[in-house]
Amino acid sequence: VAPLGDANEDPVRRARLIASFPGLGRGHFRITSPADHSYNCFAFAAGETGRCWDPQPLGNLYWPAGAPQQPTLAAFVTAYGTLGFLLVRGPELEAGFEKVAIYVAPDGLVAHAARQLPSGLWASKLGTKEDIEHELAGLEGDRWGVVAVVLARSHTEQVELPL
Amino acid sequence: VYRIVDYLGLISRSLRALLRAILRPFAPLPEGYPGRPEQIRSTKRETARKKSVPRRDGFDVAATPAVAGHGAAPAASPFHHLPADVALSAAGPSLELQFTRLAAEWKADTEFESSTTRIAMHPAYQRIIGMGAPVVPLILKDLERTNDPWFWALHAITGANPVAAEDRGTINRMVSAWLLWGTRTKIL
Repeated sequence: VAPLGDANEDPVRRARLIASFPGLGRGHFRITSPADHSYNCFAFAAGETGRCWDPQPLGNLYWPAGAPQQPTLAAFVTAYGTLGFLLVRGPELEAGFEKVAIYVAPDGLVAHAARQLPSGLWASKLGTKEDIEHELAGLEGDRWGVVAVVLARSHTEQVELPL
Repeated sequence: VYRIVDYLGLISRSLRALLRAILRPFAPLPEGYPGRPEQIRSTKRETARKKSVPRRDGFDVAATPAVAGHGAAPAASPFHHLPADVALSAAGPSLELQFTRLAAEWKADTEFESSTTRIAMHPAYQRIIGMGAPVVPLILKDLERTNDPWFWALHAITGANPVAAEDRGTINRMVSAWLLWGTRTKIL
C-alpha cells in the first residue's frame, strides 16, 4: 500500500466519499491510502494487495481454487473459507481472531468486503480507489446494502496465499 | 404481370437496403468477431484491397490465444485489411464521442465498486459492449491510459482471452496482455 500523502486532508475527496456513502459522515472514517488499481476490496479483505479477486469468470480475475466461480454469497464464504475463515455470529472484536464482513447490496449481489483492524474499526478498499478505516455501518446503505455475514479465523490459522 | 413482379422486387430490395443502412450502427454482432466489416468497409482503400486480399468471413476465435495464451500465435485481426486509424475513422467520430460519454458515465457510477458483475452490468458498460468491434481500439487506448476494468467488455466483444491463467487478477499483467494482443492484431 502506497504512502497516503495528504489525501486524508483533501476535503473534496472526503466529501466525495461521504456523498457516495452517507454513513461515513455519521461516524469515524479516515482515508489511509491513495487509489491503487492493483487490488480490490475482496482481495484486501483477504490480506492481499497484489491482485484483484472476483468470482465472475468473465471478469477473469483471481479467485481461490475450490470456490465456486459465481457471484453469490455462498461462493464468497467458500472462498474466504479456503483461507481459514468460518462464519461467526457477530462483528465484535474478539482477541486472537481476525474478521471479515461481507456486504450484500439490495440487488442481491455481493458488493463489498471489509476486514477488522486490531482497534475494532474496519478497513476497506473502495474499488480501485482509496483504502479507508471506518465503522462497519459507515458503508451500509443504498449502494452496498448491509453486512450479510461475518467470518472469522484465529490468528494462528492463517493460510498462506498461493502467489 | 412480370413488370409488376419486377417492380415489387425492386421496391423490396430498396427498402431492405435502406433499412440495413439505418439500422447498421445498432445491429448486434454476428457470431464470432467479424469486425462488423460492413461498418468499416466503406472506404475506397478497403474496396480496392478487397479484390486482392481474400476476405475473412469472421474473427478466427480458434486462432486466438486461449486463457493460458502467453506465447501463442498472434490472433487474426478483425481489421487485418485496414490500419486501425482507418477502421476507426470509418466508424465515425460519433462513435468516439458516444464511447467517451458512456465510459465517463460508467466510471463515475462504479468508481468504488469491486464486484465485476456490478461493474459490468452497468447500462453504459453494456451499451459499450453493444457497440461491437469498432469500439475495441477505443477501449484498448482507455485501458492503456487508466487500467480500468475493461476485461469483460474486451472478451465479450472479441471472444479473445490473451491473459495467462497465472496472471488473472494481476492488473498490470492483464493490461499488458491485452495491449500486446491489440498490437499483434494490429488494432493498436
